[in-house]
Amino acid sequence: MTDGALREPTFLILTALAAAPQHGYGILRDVEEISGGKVRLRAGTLYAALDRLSSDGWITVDREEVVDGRLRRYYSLTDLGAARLAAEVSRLRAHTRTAEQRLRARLTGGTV
Amino acid sequence: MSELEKRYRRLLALYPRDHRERNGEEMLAVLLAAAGDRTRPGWRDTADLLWNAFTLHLRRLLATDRGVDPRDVLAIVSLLGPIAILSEAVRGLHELAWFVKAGALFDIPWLYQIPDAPLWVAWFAVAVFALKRWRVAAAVGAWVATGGFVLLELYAPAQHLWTSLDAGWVLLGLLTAVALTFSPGPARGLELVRWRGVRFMAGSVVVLGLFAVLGFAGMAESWPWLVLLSACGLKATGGSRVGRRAALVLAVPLMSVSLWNVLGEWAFGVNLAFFYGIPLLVLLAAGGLPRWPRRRAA
Repeated sequence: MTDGALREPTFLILTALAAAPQHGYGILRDVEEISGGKVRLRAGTLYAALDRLSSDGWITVDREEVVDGRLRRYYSLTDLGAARLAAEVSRLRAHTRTAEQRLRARLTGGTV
Repeated sequence: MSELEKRYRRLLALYPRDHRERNGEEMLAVLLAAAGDRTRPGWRDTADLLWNAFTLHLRRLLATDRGVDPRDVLAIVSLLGPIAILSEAVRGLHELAWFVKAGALFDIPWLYQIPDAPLWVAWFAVAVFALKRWRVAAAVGAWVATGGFVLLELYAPAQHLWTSLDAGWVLLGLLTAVALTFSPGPARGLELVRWRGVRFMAGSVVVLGLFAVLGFAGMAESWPWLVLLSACGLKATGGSRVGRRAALVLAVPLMSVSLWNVLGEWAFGVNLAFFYGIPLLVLLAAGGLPRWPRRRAA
């Protein structure tokens, strides 16, 4: 597990899988929704990321289905992936808190 | 099959085979679901697929995708390395054949004509020990035999150019000794290449060696001969990603001869940097050697 910041697509994919397993197309739609339409992953990028996350042990294949003759594979977050996402959330929260404090100080004209 | 699906399939065909087999159909389903009423792939999808196919190929080439375990690469080298090294014995065997043909077997000036003979006997023993999976004996023998290369450079420098043209054999000897000492060893190597790979490697060394013994001794330094030997190494190691990298390690003598043809002879220190440094960098870049110590599991 690395301690560096997660890239945005990785963060969003892990977030999309945090509550329940999802299939590829579901992750694409969810990432778009979570990011307020700002991040639109494409299939090539998504599956390269899924491959990497899978080899890192952060996600795993939950189950497979065939729908309308097409393979649908569901991915889920592993405990390791959930811990990594939680660490990233803590890191972002700490940064956000500091940023808010500094902005408040700026508005009140005081010092930090 | 719609025209759109055909076009997406063509783009997906550019992906590495293992990725395509694992994700291809699923990616196709996602691409078609996201396409809406489009009849041709959009340029963003096309660029995304092309770029990711390229980066996945690159990651596999540089073995940064964790799909290659360098310990397995070295395990194969620990098994086949000693056999491959015996190829270099053909020059001495060629001399021996000449004296036999001349009916002067007992008149051979060994120290002058074939000073490296004990080395090849040692490597032959290492090969036998490795095949019997006597790892410790093979590792000790490999270190001793590799040390023999250095002694030859000091006491019989006229016979070989161990720091330039023939550096690949010394480096292969060193890597074989390292592999026998630190990798899972010949037993694991045998699991990966099976006896078929061993037989092919040994057979190739014997056949190519016979050509050089019956032909001319310099053949063993010639580029085509080493290309053939390296190709046989590639076949023997099985063609898997791990196998291809093991074959690259076995092809180190070809690298040094190729470099020598391009760079020629330099001062001692420069020779070492060129003929040892460059092949090592190539092996590191291609994932043929471990790039960092293995981290312990938490």
